[in-house]
Amino acid sequence: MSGGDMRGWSRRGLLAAAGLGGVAALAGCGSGAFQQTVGTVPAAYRKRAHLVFWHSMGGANMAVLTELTTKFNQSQSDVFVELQFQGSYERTMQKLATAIVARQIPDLVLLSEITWRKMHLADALEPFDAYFDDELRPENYIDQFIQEGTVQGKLWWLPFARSTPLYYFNRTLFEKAGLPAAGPESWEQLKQWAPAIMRQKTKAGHAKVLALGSVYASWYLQSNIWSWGGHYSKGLEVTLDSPESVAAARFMVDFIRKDGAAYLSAKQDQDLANGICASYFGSTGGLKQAELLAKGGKYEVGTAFLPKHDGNFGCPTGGSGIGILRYAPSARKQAAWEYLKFLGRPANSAHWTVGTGYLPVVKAAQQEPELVKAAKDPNQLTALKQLPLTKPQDLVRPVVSNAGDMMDQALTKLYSSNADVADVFSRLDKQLRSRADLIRAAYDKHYH
Amino acid sequence: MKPLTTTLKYVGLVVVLVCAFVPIYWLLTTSVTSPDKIFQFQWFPTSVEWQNYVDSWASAPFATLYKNSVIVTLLGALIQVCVAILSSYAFAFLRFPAKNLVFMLFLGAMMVPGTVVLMPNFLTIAALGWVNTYAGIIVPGVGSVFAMFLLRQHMMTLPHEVTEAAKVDGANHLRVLWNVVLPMSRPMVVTVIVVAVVEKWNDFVWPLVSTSTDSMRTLPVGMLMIQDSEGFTNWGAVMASAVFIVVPVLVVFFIAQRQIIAGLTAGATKG
Amino acid sequence: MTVTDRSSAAPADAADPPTRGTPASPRRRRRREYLLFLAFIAPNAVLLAVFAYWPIVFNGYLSLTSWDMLSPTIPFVGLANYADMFGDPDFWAVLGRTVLFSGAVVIGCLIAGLAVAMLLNQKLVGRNLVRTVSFAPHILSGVAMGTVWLFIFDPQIGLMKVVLEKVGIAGPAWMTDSSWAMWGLVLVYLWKNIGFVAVVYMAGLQGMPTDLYEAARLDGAGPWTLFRRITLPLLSPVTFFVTVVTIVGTFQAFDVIAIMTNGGPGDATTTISWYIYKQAFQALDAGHAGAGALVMFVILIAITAAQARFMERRVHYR
Repeated sequence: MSGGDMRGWSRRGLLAAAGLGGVAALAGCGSGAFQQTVGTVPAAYRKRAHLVFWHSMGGANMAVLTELTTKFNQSQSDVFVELQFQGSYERTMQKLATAIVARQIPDLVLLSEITWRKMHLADALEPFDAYFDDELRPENYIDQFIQEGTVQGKLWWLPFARSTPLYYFNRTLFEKAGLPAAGPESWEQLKQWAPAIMRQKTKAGHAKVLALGSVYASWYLQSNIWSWGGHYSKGLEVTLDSPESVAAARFMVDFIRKDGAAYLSAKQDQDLANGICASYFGSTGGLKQAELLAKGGKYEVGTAFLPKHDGNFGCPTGGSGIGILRYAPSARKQAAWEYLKFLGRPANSAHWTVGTGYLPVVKAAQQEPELVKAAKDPNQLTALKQLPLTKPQDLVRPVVSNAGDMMDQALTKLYSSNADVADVFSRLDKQLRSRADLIRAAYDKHYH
Repeated sequence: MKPLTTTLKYVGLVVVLVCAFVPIYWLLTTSVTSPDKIFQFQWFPTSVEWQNYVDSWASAPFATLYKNSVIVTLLGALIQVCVAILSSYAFAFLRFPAKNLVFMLFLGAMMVPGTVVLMPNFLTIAALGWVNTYAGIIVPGVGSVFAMFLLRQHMMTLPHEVTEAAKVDGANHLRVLWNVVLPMSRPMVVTVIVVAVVEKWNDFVWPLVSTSTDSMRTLPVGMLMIQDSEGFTNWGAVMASAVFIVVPVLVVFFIAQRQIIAGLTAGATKG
Repeated sequence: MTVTDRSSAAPADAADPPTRGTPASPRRRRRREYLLFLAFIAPNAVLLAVFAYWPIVFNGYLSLTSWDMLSPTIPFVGLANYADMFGDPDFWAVLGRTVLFSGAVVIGCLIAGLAVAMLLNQKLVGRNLVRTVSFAPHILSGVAMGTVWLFIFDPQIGLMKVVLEKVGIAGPAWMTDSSWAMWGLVLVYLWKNIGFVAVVYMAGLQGMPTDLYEAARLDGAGPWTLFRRITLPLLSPVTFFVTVVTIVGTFQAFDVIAIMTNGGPGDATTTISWYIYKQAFQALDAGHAGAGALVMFVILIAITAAQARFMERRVHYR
């Protein structure tokens, strides 16, 4: 047994490992050409420019997106857009980040009101300004949405599936309890109504007043924070442990723990259908599904503005828009623009809105016959009427990496345990502050 | 006294059976419950609804997912077992200085858990350009410790005279491996293959991390995708897709349960 | 498992073929055999080096950086990630939770698994069927079965609620209740592992020397004494194996958590492996992910080593 052989082996092994390490480190350091991610092109479309569009639309919404995209592919002979479903907005963003590391990217990505800002900070997005032409101008879109996607005078994020939170309630149950069919106007009112609602007999016995979701909990609570006079942050300055923010959260926590009127749920819309809750907060994009469930359960679902507090109203915008990857070759970016122009046609935008419940993003869509007819549904109107009162969220949630997830986690902890609000918020405040410091340089560069 | 204890034992037997089987039963019945009844409690399905299977098949590219799962599982298991056979033969029959030390180095890799290697391995396959390729899904998982260990333990029990005789006849080591050792190790090889097949079929986190397109995803990842969408989840379809994943394994298990049980519990009794 | 092998690794050299009988250059023959050995182990060696050992080193490097996987530069931050993690009560909570989860599953599996094994060791009609069925959960996809368990734990329509109601207990909300979600996961892991543990124990029980029992019985030992003085000590190698396998398995618990709780509600089910995944692929924080991964690796090594020492003493004692 000669020790020499042993050393030889391990040296060779080390060399191999080190060599490979060099390659792997390179991937992180950013060199090498970007390639389009793997996809499949049907034989009929082989000769066209092939685009890959990553999106997060499941169920009924996916069907409408597929329908529009197929229409686009058939309407011309140069471009083929392939849809690739990536799961939730967050997962799509995470996949995009790892795709950039792997230098294997899509051309178009559906990004939420949160994830686009992270991609923008990472310099991954292409500004749209140079692409606009007579066929599609920024003015075609609802101004508010264009403003939200504009940073330092450039538009990075094109409105598409925009939404706001809505208050969904079982109108039949409310009427049975002798309450107004329009839903509550304020939190105080809802709290007052709670005993009457919880007395009603339902399929499940008795219903609680309000189901709170764990997904996007901090999006919904933004409304409360504002109407209690607080903020998640001012710019990057985190203000979560301000007395107003804590009071807003404490109200919700008391509604759960003291009044026993609210609870944490994994599937609020199903709970409404089963008579487990009488109301919940949901996105505009869930309207079609809620109406479908109501039809099956033989009750009427109502939508209302988010409740006020002390006469103050606050409501964030949400949903998603489309970004073009900066790293894609210019021919594909140009082709992508053709697709976006197609989606931006008033008739197509109206069709998307009617099929999904998302807000119309193109002004002219509201005059399209299809949308005019659908807008007779009062539920579809709620979001439209609420829209002018909405504004983009406080910046910490969209800009600081992983902030949304950390905030949702802290809130679900409050909703599902006996943890103290002030404690949880001051810890969260501290964590977000230190994470905000990590991106401060990039933030200053991009926003000032 | 005696009949009472016997009765108690049978009661225990039934309790174990029911506890183990009920979730599987629940999977099967929920998967044939229509979406409007799926959120109601029922011991037995009132009607058998195959629509979920149709929905599930339509809501994700299941044909592709299935194809990918089969390719990844079979190729992965095959390569892994080949790798294991080669190295176990070397450790059992060939001379090398400090062989035991090398063997310990190999065994040590078993202590490295999958979660720990996740991100570095992703970066490695990214650097190799293997994201969204079969190589990227398969190769990081085919290094073999446990299978190699089991095979080596088995090979060391083989009568020495057989391999010697073959070599005297002029056969080289590859021939000995192929013509003598492998045929004599067939039960263990089958065990190792079946265990590898089950593990790779169920693997979730690595295919999740190493793929980002439907044309490369495997069944468990596809199933997560059906659940994880903006808007709403068709739970009936999700359950049906769970059946697609579970049933092949159940079938394999009931055919080859002896090998699977032997393989998975071997570390306790062998060695 | 590393340890079970140590005893058997020694006779490996006994397998060396005798070298006598070949007159032509035994040294060259030996050289060729060395090369052949290297060729045979090369594929496995390369794979393990690249995909098992190299990641440890790579994690070590990443853990000293603060990289969000998006920015083009990788800033070096020294030990800041470790300082941050160990100064964060949340991370200690993750570790504590992991130990609790792992401990609960291990203890549950050992007790219930041994009980089932002793039951199945009796001559009962249908025991083979029960053995097979109770083993099956061990090999079913965690993703698929996790979804089923979500339905079983549903606070309104779940089987668990109905069964508990039948015995007069109002069941908790399980997966949406911070104090119960972890116990729900423990139940799922028990379901997945008890059958497996039972089968391992059965193998151990069948290898028991009957004469020892006869002798003890003649000395007037009752069933409880027999169990405590003979069965348990003789089974200790099996117990060791099961404990190590279950600890490693629970520390790595991922698919069931991913499908059932996503580490929530709050962070109620965030164990170490979910923490690492979350840092790496959700928070895109390579530094903390690398540091967390190394901590997990060190803990597992330490637990296994400690177990091995402990068991060595126990095994000698009999």
